[in-house]
Amino acid sequence: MGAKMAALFVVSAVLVALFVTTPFLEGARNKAVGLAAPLYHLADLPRNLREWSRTRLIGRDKLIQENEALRSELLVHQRKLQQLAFLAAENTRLRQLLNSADTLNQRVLVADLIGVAPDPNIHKVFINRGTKDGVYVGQPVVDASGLIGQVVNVSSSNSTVLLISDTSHAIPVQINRNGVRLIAEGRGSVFELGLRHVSSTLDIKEGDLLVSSGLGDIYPAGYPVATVDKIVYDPGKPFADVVAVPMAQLNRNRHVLLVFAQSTKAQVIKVVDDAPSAAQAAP
Amino acid sequence: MRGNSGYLPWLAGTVFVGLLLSIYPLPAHYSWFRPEFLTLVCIFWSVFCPYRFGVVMAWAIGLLQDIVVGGVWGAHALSLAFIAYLCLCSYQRLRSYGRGQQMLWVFVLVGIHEVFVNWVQGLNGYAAPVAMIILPTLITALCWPLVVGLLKPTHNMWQG
Repeated sequence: MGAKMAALFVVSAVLVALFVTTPFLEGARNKAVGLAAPLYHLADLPRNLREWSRTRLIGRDKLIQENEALRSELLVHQRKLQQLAFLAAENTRLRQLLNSADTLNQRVLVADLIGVAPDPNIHKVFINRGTKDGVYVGQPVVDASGLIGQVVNVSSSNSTVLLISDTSHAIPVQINRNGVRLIAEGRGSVFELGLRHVSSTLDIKEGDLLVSSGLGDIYPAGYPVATVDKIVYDPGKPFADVVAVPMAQLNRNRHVLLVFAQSTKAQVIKVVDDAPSAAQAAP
Repeated sequence: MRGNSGYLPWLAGTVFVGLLLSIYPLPAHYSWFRPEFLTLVCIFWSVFCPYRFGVVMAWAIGLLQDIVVGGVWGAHALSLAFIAYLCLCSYQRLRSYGRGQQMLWVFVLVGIHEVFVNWVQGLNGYAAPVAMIILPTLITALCWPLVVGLLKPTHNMWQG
């Protein structure tokens, strides 16, 4: 038994080394997402039943009431959309004047959450869309109020999403008020992000909205990421400690949106090639 | 007397339930309190069925858990194999202990398991604070009488 144990130790060490340092197991990991999905569906069954009974065993009056509330909400949003079309057109014209890339009309796909990684250190969620639906590794995921994260593993009909609050995740952001670029990193809590390298003279205030800056070629620009919650200046440290609260509800979503934004990069490169002088002139 | 493989459905069943419990969705605040049922299942089988259950099987169960929970592959595998090894070396002594004493021993074993898994996960950038290693360990140890109480009465059905 001792020899077996020693052999298992060696096998495990090799496996861990392969997993941590090389992309060798990436294919197997993508398949594993599909294998684990039925278990997550099963573990999610009680909740689904509760959800089902909540939507089916509901009074007619309540449904009518809810319907009316949704209708009026829709009206409000549609009014906003009317303005949006005008603003989008104006934005496109201005961008053409500046000779910069058009913002794409991004296609989205709704996905359901089927599970959450059980280890509280690992901030990943599992969703019910995969390569069959065109999902790809690195695809941005958003909810109604902000960015959630990016797809890291895809099987044929399920995928894993790494949340922006994971300790291995960082996202390029900019302050919406003045355009200052920063990096927001996960700190292992769904309720806070940390901002890196914020010098004490930087113009940042509590309540500032951080939006994705579009650098890094993963996330499209302009999605809300977090709001600045607390800034602590410590004279003994080179940088201020800034805590931001994610806009998205990372721990209570059931539906998320997958954004198809893969062509952005190609388009930007094309435009830069067309007008190298304009691109160089921009700061 | 049953055939040699009469225990297999029981083993598979307990592992399946253990896996389900290890991924059952909990609110964010309570996920630190999740007991490691698969570790208890492994300890149970190596203590009460040592002639059937071995380190390779524990390793396979651990690998299954790694794959399902999405951590570093090999972390739970090696750690469960090591726990099973320790149990197989000392199962006679463990069986003669009272439940309370067994719980203390399980606390130490699960502690080793947690520290080990945490260390391997740390290689990938995930490390838990110390208090968050002790808490689930304590809760897992407290669950030991429950697991034994549920599984031990069935031993006539799988001990062949």
